[in-house]
Amino acid sequence: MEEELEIFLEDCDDQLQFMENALVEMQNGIIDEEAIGAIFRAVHTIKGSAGMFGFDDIVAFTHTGENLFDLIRQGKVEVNKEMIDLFLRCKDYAEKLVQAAVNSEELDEEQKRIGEELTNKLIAYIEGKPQESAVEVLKDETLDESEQKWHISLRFHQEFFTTGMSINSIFNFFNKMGKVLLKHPITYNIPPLEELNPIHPYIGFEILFSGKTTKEELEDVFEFVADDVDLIIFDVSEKGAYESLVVQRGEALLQKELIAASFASQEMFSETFLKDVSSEESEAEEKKELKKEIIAPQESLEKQEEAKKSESKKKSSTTLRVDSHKIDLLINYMSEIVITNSKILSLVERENEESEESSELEEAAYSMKELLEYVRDGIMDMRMIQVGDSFNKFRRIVIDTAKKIGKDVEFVISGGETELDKSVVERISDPLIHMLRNSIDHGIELPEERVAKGKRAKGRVDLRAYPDAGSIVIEIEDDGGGLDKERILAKAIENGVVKPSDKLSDEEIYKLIFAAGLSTADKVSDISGRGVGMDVVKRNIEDLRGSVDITSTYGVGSKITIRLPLTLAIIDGFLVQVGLTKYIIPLENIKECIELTKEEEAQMGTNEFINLRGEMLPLLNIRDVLHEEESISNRKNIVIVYFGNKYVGLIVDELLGEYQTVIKSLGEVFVNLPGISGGSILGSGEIALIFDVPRLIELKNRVGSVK
Amino acid sequence: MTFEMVEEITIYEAEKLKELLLEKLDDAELLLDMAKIQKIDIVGIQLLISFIKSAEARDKRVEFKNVSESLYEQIAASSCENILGLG
Amino acid sequence: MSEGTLEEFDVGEEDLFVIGDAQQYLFFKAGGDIYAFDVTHVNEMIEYQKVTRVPMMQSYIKGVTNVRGSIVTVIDLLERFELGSTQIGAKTSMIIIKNIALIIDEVHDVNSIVDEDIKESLEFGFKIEQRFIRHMAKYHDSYIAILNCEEIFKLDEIAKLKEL
Repeated sequence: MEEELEIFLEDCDDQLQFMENALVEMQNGIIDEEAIGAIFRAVHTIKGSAGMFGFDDIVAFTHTGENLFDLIRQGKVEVNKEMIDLFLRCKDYAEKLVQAAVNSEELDEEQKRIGEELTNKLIAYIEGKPQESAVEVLKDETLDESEQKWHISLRFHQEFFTTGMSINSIFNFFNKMGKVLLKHPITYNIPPLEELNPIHPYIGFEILFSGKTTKEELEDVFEFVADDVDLIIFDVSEKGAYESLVVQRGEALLQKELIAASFASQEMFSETFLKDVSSEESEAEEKKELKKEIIAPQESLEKQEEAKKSESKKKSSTTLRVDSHKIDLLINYMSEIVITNSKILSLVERENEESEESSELEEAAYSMKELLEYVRDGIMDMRMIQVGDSFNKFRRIVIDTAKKIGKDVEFVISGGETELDKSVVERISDPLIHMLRNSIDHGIELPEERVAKGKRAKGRVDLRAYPDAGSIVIEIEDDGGGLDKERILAKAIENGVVKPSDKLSDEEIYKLIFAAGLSTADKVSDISGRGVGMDVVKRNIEDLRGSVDITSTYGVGSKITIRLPLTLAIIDGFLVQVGLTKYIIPLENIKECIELTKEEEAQMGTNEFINLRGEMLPLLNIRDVLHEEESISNRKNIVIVYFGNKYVGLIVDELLGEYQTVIKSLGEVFVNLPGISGGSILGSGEIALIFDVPRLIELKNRVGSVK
Repeated sequence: MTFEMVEEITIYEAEKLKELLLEKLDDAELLLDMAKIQKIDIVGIQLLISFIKSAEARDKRVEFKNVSESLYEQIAASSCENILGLG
Repeated sequence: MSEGTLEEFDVGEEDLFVIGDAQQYLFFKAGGDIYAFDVTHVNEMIEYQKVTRVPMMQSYIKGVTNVRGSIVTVIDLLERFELGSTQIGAKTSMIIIKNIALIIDEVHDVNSIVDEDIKESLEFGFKIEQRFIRHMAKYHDSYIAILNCEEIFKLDEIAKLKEL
């Protein structure tokens, strides 16, 4: 079942349960506003959710129920015992409707008859009420006092388009709930084609809506895509509401658009404000964060109370939805604490260098360190999400892609419960989609072709995730034709990527598909484009400090293996010194450290490798490669780092010890810098540079081949 | 230019269409024949807006012809008909 | 602008009561010449502090430094202008604009210049490349170059790696 549908089913179950609870209370004679309100909200929520999915049967049935409850709420119809029984039957019927809808089944004739009967009975109660209010129910669509005008400002997160949720169904739903008075697309964030990633959303919408709905009900519309939309809803009658929208969005052009599309008038924006927005674009981001908290539209006390009540009734689940910005903020603070604590520890250690015993201060500092690690892990854990939710979104793309090119593919997801940092999950999504498409397009053969080869007509693509030694592995495996070594090599030689004289291992040949400008497809197909992509995919993964490998057997299939770090924010590293600069090597890449003795150095001569326990270990002298100054300590050590199955010994001056560190970006000036992934501020305030080991190994190969 | 190869401007075609449109940007006349297009989604609309922006940066105007009623409806559902110059 | 960073520099009293439209400019010395930045571009000024060298970059990219917990890129302005490199002394300072710290010889003060004294930059006749100059400003009978941050920080230029 699709993830959204699952949420829908769960949500309906919850609502039906609330309804039943309230009805049972009513049966026991407690017919109060609260119970009636609870049922009304439940019916309304189900209607709303069903509308999102286009389950018209449910919408129609619940709509009738909702109308009746609206009248009851207004005191125009009185509840009696028969009615409660009727409602219980309606609840049972609604449950069946939901089940049928989710499983895309039809109700049987008997059920349909029951539905009609129940609907007629509900209508009879609606029509039984005093005549004058009947008119009111019918004029449903027109504005009356109880209608309220809401502004809905809609932006989308990167993955929205790939969720498969159609934006039109959201608009349709607004049309059902009330009236869309204005709808204006926001297009200034759409870049020119050159910079466009076509499946990322840049467009946004501003909507003026009028209806008998509360803010919560409108927000519920987006419940299924809550993680993928950025939503601001406010009552337009609130003072300064539009001004605060512009601030919250932090989009300098928004104000003009709002005025041009007649949502707001010039007068709604104070003059000082105009200046603010235009002159401080750079600070807009920060402001966006701050003001979100401070000027969230003030709700009246009464409203809040009501919301609280309904909240406590509605939310029986124990999960808490937290704005990810709040967690990021916490991580930033945590990073500072980790740095400060390292500083305390190094001070304490220096203080105690002389004495044999550890002081109480030292012990306290160490238990503090331990506790901080728990807190840190706890916070990091909050950012971890299961990859399954994201993986399930690929189903539709895979199936549709296959269908489009006449292939029959079974898509199997496993390890969906594997957890990964949310930002990593978000950023790996595009590369995965690309590779999945490739597998289907270039990997899986057409059904006839498969049968001719003695394979099952239906191809199979596996997407699996599992944790492995401190990192997460994602694999895409297909049982298609596999890679054609000869053709890749021929193509690579033709494009000048490799020389005909180069001796390449199978693995190295397969890896060529990640080289820029190399597409082995004989003819350009609709799906995976024209050789743009795999190099970008590789780059994207490496930007996440991950790696990608491919193995393949001709005729049998291919397997792409992606290795990703658990998190991006903090790493355990090893601090070393080269010349005047301190560098951090991620611990996950270190195999061991050895001292380079004078004898060994002499033995080595001008060779760039040493013999380590019978194996040749290539060496990379950091001082030479990075043009560092002479060593101050005159010592030399080798840190053996590895990535995948490649080992390199880095020659450094001094080993300073393990260091837990927060990765910070060095800034955009250093984007092209190979071998260094960021910086870290040490306890002393000094900055250490963090090695990007995979790139460093690449650098070694490049430098080596030049020589 | 006509969209010979597709009948839909949707998320599934977006990557390829982007490449096609990028190439077409160099043409003197940017007239897009939409006769064959039956379906467009928000991804497609966004792509066309982006195309228009790139064209404007080159001082060129994009024109769409043979937009079917149904296609227009689909674009109007997102209120983007004016931006695409169809309003 | 960050709080308090300008206080130590003398803002002349007469500058506070300028009639007509005037902007404030930060005056400073680099390689013996006086230059100015539009004050609204300047985040803060700090004394010269330890810089961590970053390898493989253009020689005017001195590296990075830690400004209250943020990593900031350090550029030697004089080297950027190809006028030699700044000698580090007691008065050497860093002017922080966006996320970049510029090493300069000495910070002077913040002065107001009325808009009518701001002229287009001359085509020639100045030591530094014309593109680095946004305007020329007349100040007490001399002309001062108001620098163009966009050109100095032009990303595709300064992010280029030195040949390996």
